[in-house]
Amino acid sequence: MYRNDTVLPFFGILFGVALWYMAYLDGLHIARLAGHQPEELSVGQLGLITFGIVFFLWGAIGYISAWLEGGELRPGREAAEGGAAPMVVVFVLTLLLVGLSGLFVNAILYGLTEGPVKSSFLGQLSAAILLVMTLLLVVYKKFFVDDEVLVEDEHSEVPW
Amino acid sequence: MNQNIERIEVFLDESKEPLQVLTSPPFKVTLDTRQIPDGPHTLRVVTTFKGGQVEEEIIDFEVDNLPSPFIDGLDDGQQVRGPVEFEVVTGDYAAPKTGGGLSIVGAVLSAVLVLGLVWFYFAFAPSAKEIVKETGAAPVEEAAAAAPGAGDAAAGKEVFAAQCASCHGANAEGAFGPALAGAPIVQNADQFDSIVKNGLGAMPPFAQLSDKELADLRAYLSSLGGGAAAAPKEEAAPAPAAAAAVDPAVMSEGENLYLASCAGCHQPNGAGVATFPALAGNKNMADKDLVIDRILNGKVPMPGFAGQYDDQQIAAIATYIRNSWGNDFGPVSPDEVAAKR
Repeated sequence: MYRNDTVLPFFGILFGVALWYMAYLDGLHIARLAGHQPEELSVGQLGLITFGIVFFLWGAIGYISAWLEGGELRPGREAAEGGAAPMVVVFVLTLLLVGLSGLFVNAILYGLTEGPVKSSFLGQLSAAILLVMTLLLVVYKKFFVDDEVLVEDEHSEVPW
Repeated sequence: MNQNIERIEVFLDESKEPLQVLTSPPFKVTLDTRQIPDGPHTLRVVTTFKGGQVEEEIIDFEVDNLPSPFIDGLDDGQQVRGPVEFEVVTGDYAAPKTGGGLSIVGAVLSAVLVLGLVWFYFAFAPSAKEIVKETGAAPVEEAAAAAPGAGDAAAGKEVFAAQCASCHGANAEGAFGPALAGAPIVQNADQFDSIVKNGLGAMPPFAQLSDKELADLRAYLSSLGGGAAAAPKEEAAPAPAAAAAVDPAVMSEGENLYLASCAGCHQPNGAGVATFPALAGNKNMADKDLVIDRILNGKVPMPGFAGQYDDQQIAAIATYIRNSWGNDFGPVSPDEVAAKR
C-alpha cells in the first residue's frame, strides 16, 4: 500500500457516511418512541455524528492528498502544471470568497440594525467561506506550487 | 560643442578600418547590430583634436539579436522516464521587444480595487441586504412587534420552556397544569404574577422570576391566542376491531382512570408531550410486564400508582393503553398485576 493509497480513505468515507446514517436512524427511533420529533439531538446521535465527521474528514484528507501528490510518490521534482483554467478557477473562487465575506459582514450589520439573523445562516456563511478558502488552497497547491519528493516511505506509521 | 575636434573615428572590435568617420556635428553613429554576429563586442571611439592630440574611448557591449533557444517541457536536472515530449522555443528575430506588462504595484492595486468593490457591494449594497433579509432574517414574534414595551414574547417563550412547559405543555396547551394559551388569567397581570410568584395548589412558587420575565411570559402567552397554538385535541380513537377479545367494560373503566391520572402527561390521545413519551404506537406496549411495572412503580419523573389503585383498576389502565390509538396488544388481567406487586 502506497502512502497516498485511496483504500483507507475510501473506507474512512464509507464509515463516516454509515455513522451519519446511523445517527439519522437513531433520530427516527427516538422520534417514534417519544411520539414527536425532539428539537435537540440525543447524546447518542452527537457521538455518532462526531465520529462520522472524524472518519469523513480522515477519508477526505486522504483523497485530497492522493489528488495533489499522486497515488504513488516517486522521488524527483515535479513542476507545477499551471495553466489558464486553474487561473480562471482561482479568480472565480476569489471573487466568491470576497463576496461571501461581504455578505457575512452584511448579515452582522443587519442583525445589529434591523433585527435578528438566524444563527444557522451565519454558520452556513462561515462554513461556505472556509470551504472556498480550502478549495483555493487546494487548487493553488495542485497547479501553482512545484513539488519535490525526496524519499518515498512506503511503510510509514500513518498512511498519509 | 567642442570646436577643437577634428574628427571622430568609430572602430568595431579589432577592425583597422573605421566603421564611421565623423568630422562635423552632430556626431551620431548608426550601428546595425543585425550585421554583426551575436556575442561580446568592443566599440573603440578615437577622437582626434586639432593639434594632433588623440583620445580613445573603449566600450564593451553584447549583441543579442538571436536569443538562445528555450526548452519548454524539460528542466535542467529533471528526472524523466518513458517517452518525453518537449518543445524548443526560439526567439523571434523581427519581434519588437515587449514591455514589462503590469507592474507588481499595478497588479496589487487593481486586485484590491476589484475585490474591494465586490466586497463593498456584498457588504453594503441594498440588493445584498435583501438577500440577507430573505434568507437569513429570523422570524420576529408578531406579539412583540404589536405591543412593544409590554414584554418580549421571544424571551417569554424561553422562560416558559425552561420553567413552565413541563407541566403546562410545550405550547401552553395544558398537561399536568391547566392550559395557558390565551387563558383569561394571562390578561390579569397582578393575579398572574401573584400565582406564578407564590404558587397555587399543586403548582410550586417561582419567586426567582423577575418582573421583566413575568412580563415576557405574559407577552408570550398572550401571543399564543385562544388555544390557537394548542396541540390539536383528538378524540381517543376507538379500540380497533382486532382487540375484540378485550372486555368493553374494562376498556371503559381504563379510559376513565387514564383520563383522570395519566392523560395530564401522556395526553388524552396518547401522543405524549415534551419529555413524556407517547403511548400511541409505542412498541414497548407489547411488553406486558413492563407496562404493569411502570404503572405500579413509575419511573422518574412518573409517579407509581401501586398505592392508589387496586389490581383490577391497574389492569384496566394497562388494558386500555395497550388497546387504544392503534395499539393492539390484548388485555391484562388483575392476576397478572397481582403477580407483579
